[in-house]
Amino acid sequence: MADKQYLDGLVQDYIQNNERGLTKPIGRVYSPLVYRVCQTVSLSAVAIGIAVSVRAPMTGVLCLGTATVAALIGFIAYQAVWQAVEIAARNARAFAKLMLLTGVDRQTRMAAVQKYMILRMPLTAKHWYEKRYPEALRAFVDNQQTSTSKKPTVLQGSVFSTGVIAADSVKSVPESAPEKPDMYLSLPILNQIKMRALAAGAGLLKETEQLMLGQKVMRPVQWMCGVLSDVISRQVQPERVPLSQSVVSTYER
Amino acid sequence: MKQIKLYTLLPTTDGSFVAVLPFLSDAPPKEAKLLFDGTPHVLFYRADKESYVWDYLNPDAIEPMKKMDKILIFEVDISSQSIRWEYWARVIQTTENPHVTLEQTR
Repeated sequence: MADKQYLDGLVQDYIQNNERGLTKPIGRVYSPLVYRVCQTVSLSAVAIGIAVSVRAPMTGVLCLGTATVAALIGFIAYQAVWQAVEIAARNARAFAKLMLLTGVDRQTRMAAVQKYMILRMPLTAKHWYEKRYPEALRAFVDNQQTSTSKKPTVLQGSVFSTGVIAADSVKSVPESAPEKPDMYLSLPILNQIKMRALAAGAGLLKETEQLMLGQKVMRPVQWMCGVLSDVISRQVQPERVPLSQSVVSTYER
Repeated sequence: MKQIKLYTLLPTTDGSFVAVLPFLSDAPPKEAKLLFDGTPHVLFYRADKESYVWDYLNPDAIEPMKKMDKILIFEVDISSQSIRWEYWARVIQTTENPHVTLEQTR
């Protein structure tokens, strides 16, 4: 039950954060732009105001007023940028946690989180994030118990960064491997199931192959991760595995 | 009653599912059946005095489950990478499943 609540919390956390408008351009695109423009206008106005204030005091006052207004607007935009950065950071953290739950190896987790962050964060604020969050980013990826002491369930074999389970990444089990082996369906088992299901009169959907490959099969924990993998697959993996490709050939590729 | 935490439902061409469960028991299944009341918690009676809960059913699986009357189940032994049992289970639609005390398994 504890695990369930924990996972519920993660998903809710992710959804709520995501619904807070991370993808809205106001926070991601316009705010950094507005901030930069206001910064430039403000500094220019101050400079011009000082320069002309000796000869034309009224113009100088006007310039300083403009600088003040621009600075205020810029400050608001700056706050909006940081809000978007913080939201992106929270989402990255949720990603990292959920990837941990599915047993994605560290390298893949790191790559996925980085890609996610780059794509989701304010467009002109990457350097801010990189400056402020490198440790946090590593913590997202490495820390298995960031905000809770509950030990997550670890599944072997899942993928987020490529859409295809790479054989080597499937084998790597995170450091926090549970005592009991978790359920993991290997390719031979999946093929066996497919053949035997067909023989029993239950042909699997063609797209089930891809579902299996993408680990978006309806496994409880992975359904939750599917919420994330949907996003990641849209964001960081432009090429999807064609439905027509067979399980074997895709794996071998 | 034990809880099956990890399982897989694979959609089939007829709108049903094939369920892949971890290997549960050496004892053969007997008149296996599922009691489904439309909630994400399915009661699974594998044999006499052997019952489980499939917990955390995917929301997308609930509507199809309401229309199913049987489901093909595979029990897979992960360690030996083999299918140990393969059987059909009846899906019995109920209005409300009894509350159960769970004991967690895989």
